[in-house]
Amino acid sequence: MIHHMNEEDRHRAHDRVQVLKAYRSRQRWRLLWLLIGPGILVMLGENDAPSMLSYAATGSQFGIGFFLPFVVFTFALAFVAQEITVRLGAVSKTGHADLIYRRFGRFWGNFAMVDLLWTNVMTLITEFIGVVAGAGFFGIPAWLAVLGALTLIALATFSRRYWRWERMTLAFALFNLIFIPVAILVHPHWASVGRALLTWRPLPGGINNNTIILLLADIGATITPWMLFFQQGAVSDKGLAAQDIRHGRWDTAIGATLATLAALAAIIATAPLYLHHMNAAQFGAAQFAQALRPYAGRIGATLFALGILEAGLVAAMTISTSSAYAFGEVMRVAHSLNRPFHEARGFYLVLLLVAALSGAVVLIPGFPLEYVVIIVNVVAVLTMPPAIGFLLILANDREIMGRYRNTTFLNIIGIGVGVFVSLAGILYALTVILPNLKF
Amino acid sequence: MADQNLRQDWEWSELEWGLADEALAEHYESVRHLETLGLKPLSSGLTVLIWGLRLYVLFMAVVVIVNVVQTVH
Repeated sequence: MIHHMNEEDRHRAHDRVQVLKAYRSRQRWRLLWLLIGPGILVMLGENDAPSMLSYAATGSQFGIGFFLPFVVFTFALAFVAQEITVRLGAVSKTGHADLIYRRFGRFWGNFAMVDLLWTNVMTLITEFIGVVAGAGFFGIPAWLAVLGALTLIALATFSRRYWRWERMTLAFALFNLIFIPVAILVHPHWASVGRALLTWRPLPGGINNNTIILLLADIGATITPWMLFFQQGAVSDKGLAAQDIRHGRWDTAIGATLATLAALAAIIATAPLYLHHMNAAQFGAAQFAQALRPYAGRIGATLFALGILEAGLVAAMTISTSSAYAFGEVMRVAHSLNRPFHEARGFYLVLLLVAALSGAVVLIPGFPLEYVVIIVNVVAVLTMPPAIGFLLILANDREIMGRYRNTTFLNIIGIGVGVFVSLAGILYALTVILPNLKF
Repeated sequence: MADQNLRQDWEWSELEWGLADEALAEHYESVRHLETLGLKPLSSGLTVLIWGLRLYVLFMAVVVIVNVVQTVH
């Protein structure tokens, strides 16, 4: 059978042999090492530049009381949604866009694609904003930062192996944890942090449009459409099988835990700005790093700027890949990182072009960087309800999922996630339409 | 079974070639099944739900534009 394969399948077969050998010899840790990747990448990838800046804005404007447990809650919601993509990818062996087009037809598929594309492009632009802002802290000019990021994306992309790309991106993604030492450097009152996590206090100052935007930005920092398309695409490109679903769940849970820690750290790190009543509403990445210097020291400020730069870079890699997967699935052309360039030109060109165009937009003089950063997560949340709708219908599709379809319990949780995200959007709409409304 | 060139490239044992065939059989079976999938028949309830969610997004897009305009002014 193996001599009939193309290069994509050969590479995948090679990876699968390692996995099956680990199963046979009961090497639990090696198995986990071989099978982790998409879950950690998607969760740490979603801790991107706008997300980390949203967390920083949250910490600096509201402190830790309400938002620490809120962020833990949103990552729990993200886990529920992403776990479904593991099952869908491992059982169907295809991407999310492909399944939507096959099962719902071109009309609904095109709607889903439009949502994905405009949120992806907007988010990618903000990733480059993060890269430029982080690099700016070190005196690196914007054009050089964009060029450097595009070069790294191209180098990782042309590794010609999903496995190599995944491990390189994972190595970058783990730098997201750089926010943890920043949090430690501001010497937080750990008992207050513990109390905040356990008691979930109400929002200081009540709810208004600004608060709702930050709430939505924090939800959008954990749950977005591209995550569904990326993880399912990566799971099928990696070649996960139904027997690997348990490890896929662990992968997603580890990713959610690491991402939660980094997000909490960003809020804790910027909470001193709230305690000292500093108005950080319009801060960008470089300003946050500068403002943190009196509290976290030069090293802490430098780490914060590096963290924003890294967050933008990793997300630029994963989001441009998610766009390319979706393009390949919809156009029914080769779309795998296991393929050489000449076999998947469209896939690679879309990946690089989307990244290059987004990077170029950031270099436009007068571009409203800070506002776009916050609003992009809001837009991501507002496009989530139909994405969750399709996800749940597919997860209950007996023809695709067989015995791996959603249980009643998982459906109740999944519908809960959808209702929560929809209500958050409605609350946002109310504060825009009726600005004087008080809650 | 694999051809001679591939065998020389990868230097696998018989067991490993067997595992590769096993992995590929599962993969191709799933792909074959995928090709048999057609459009999912949607009940009227599901159709209303999908349309409702689509209108929700369109409405929210207008709200975001209004919010951006309000902020800019």
